[in-house]
Amino acid sequence: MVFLLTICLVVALNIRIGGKPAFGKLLNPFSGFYNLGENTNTLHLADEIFAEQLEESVEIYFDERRIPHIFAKNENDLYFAQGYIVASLRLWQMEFQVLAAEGRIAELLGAGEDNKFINFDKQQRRIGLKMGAENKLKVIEADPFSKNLMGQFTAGVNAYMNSLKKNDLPIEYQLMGYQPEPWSSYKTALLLMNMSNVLTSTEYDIENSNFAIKYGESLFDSLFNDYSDQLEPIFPTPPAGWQAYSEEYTTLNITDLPVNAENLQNLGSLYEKSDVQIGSNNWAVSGEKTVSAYPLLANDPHLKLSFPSVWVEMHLNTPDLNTYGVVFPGAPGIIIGFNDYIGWGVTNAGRDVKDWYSIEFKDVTKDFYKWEEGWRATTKVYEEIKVKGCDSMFDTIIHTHLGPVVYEEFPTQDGPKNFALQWMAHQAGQEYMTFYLLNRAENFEDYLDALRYYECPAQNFVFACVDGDIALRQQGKFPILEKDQGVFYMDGSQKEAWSEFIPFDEIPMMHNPDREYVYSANQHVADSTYPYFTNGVFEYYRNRVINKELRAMHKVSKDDFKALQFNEYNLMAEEALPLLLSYVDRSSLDEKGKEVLDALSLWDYVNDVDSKEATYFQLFSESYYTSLWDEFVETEVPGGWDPYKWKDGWKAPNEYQTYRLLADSIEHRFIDMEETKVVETTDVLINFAFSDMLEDVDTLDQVEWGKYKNTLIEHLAMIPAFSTNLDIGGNYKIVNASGKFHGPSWRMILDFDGGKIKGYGVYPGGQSGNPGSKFYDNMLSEWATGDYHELVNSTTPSTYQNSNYQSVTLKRP
Amino acid sequence: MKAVFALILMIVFGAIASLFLPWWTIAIVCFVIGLAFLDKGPEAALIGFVSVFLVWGTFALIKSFQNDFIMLNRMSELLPLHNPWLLLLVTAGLGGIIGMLSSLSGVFLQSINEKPRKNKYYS
Repeated sequence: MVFLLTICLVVALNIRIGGKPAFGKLLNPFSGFYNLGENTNTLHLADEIFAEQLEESVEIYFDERRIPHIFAKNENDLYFAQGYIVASLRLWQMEFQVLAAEGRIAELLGAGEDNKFINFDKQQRRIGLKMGAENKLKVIEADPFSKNLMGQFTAGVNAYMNSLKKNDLPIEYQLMGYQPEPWSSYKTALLLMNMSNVLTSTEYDIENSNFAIKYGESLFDSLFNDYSDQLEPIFPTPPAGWQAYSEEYTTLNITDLPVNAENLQNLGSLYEKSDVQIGSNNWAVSGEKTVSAYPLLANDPHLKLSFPSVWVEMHLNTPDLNTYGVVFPGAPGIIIGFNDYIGWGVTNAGRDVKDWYSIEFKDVTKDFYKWEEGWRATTKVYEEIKVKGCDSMFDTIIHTHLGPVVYEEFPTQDGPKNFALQWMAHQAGQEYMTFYLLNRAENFEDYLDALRYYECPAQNFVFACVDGDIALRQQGKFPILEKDQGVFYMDGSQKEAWSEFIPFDEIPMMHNPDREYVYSANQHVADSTYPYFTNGVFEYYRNRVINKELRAMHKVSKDDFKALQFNEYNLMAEEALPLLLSYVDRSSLDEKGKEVLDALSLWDYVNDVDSKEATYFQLFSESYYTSLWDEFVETEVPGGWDPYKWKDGWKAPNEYQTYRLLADSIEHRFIDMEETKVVETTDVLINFAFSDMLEDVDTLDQVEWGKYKNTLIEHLAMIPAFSTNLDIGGNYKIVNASGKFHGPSWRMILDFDGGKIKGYGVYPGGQSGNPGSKFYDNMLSEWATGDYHELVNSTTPSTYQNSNYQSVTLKRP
Repeated sequence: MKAVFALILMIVFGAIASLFLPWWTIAIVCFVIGLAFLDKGPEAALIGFVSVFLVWGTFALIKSFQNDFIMLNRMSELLPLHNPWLLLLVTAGLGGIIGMLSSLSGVFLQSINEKPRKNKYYS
């Protein structure tokens, strides 16, 4: 009996039961988690590593933050080593991100609550992430150069993976009970698709159409007007006007939306847009504005704050190349950084490159769909979604000439519809070539040549050079749109796929402008005089603060740039708060209410970590927004941090539009709250919002902004024990864009003093993806306090041959 | 004396097996030593428990010291025990139970096969 019991126990401890890890395997100190805790005194790699594929030896020096300086003798070895080193730091993250992009999460985690993982996988497949990656792969494989480049990187990743025993796999594999698959160029392509997905969710075609169908296009136009003269586009209209670029500005009629004022219940629930709160800042000033008489450049891309960190910091060197910066774990080359001649950085363009089309099928077989007066044949792709612990799910994706049909029989304000998606990310660009060439660029012409390859997701590339040049260009492949194309969905039986694109020479760019600075912060690309229709999701506040500061800059140094990256001025509060407060009836308030009102009236509009007023304003503004737009906003907003939590199929005007309507005292039907019998006025709403805010404040333990916001840096698999919270200033719409869940994922400043680039940077996390490593989160506090470290990009290995560095040699056996 | 000898054997061979073979081989070590050297149930249970408790506890402690207790802290939050020392105790205790049952199994198997066994190493 005891014998059997013992065997049962040992076996039970060695296998996974009910989704729980095998406890014997996990807890035993010989092969379990204790083993994955890194020895704090030694490197995570052996001193000497042998790899067949290498042509010559590669020396790698890790500094005290575990930033690798890779010295290879040739390019093939360099990218092999980059793959090997990145994998050694971030293997699980690389793979998990790719599996998510491919729609294979249910395979790892099961169906999930309410089938959420299955639905996620289905979404990823339907929007065509796999299809886009396959298209990219074809382009990579067709060109011997890129095939080799990706192949070297892949070989490096796999060499590292093969060196691991099962017990050495990162802790996440042990907890979730799966093993990594070999890396491939396809996986790198999937990773780039994932980035495109994150950065191009900037459209509301179906939501806008629902609104216009129910309430009419003129109300839509007046509420959702997206531009005003107060705004400052990235590229101001050139003195000669934009017309010089284009022969004729064509305005084509798009579609006549039906009218249906009836309130159709239960519109369809759209797939979640990935991270509408992301954004970025970048800017550069010429030597005219600096102490050194050489340019300065800054960049901070705002992404989801996560563990393991979004970026890995690296220095890559061969006899022909010396570049330093941050990389995406899973793709070769440096994405944001500098070399000995130039520096560059990116912000998201936010332009709408996703169009939706309604598709009418001939019959239930869905073999044909309507095209002009006749029918066209569909093609079908069958997808198997594997589900851990259950049978696989199958999905048939129907393709049209415009793209995959993502939604079928989808309830809209005009009845059920099928929607096909045309998306720039489906097309195969060679974005990796841009980064390959930027890593080697020596001047403005090289920068421009590098950008020619870049299509999607469109970015604003800021540039500065040791010869004193600065530049900014919004690079991407943009279809030439008819007016309002992409604002509403279109009739798929009438539209051909995009065939004309804005020519390279007509994409806006600034090179050494008279104002001596360039900047971008996700705002509008240009005003309405730009001869192409532009549409998207843009930023209204942060960019204007940056412009104001840059305009006033004179004899600045890197410290002024750092101060600007940490600028916490809340321009939205400056514009909205006095307006809101002018409606508040002081006499109706109690002592506490008067105190808060007085504090708000005296507030300096700075969202610093200790500000109580910032918390008051946030709650006040949120309450006003959600009660004003109660027709469209879910009243229960989880955590109160995502005002973009819409009712199914709807979207309200954004904050900028909202406060513009308030400033202009524009009356509209939505001021009245739907749920109440009385007719609300702006006055009633704002006083309600104020007292609602006071009630909220009463329930808070800590009112200070940083404590209230309590920024979360969350583990990718949402494991709380591997996540951290941080009390810091800043917020969305503020230059220091440290929000609740997103923030500056890399802060970089480049100083071109004396024609030699010195870099400074820091990111919120650490080089290692291992929660049992001291390098998992070691830079977090440096990031929070603005303690940038120097980015040491010496071309001589001897710089790194001392006791501050730990070295590894990759060599042939 | 025999008991002390068995304890030392279990610790030494248990540690060696654990270091070079799969983690569960320590159960076989305890079983074999129990079978060969021990004959009283309670004694075997105690020796099995103590030996593996010590082996697992010691190695868990050494590994944790080398890691500044980073991993132990995170895992104690994950499981969630919220106390790294408790997790160390649970680890050693789990090892102890495996050792106890294994060595007990050895003794019990021995009592089933009492008759055919003539040569005992110690009497």
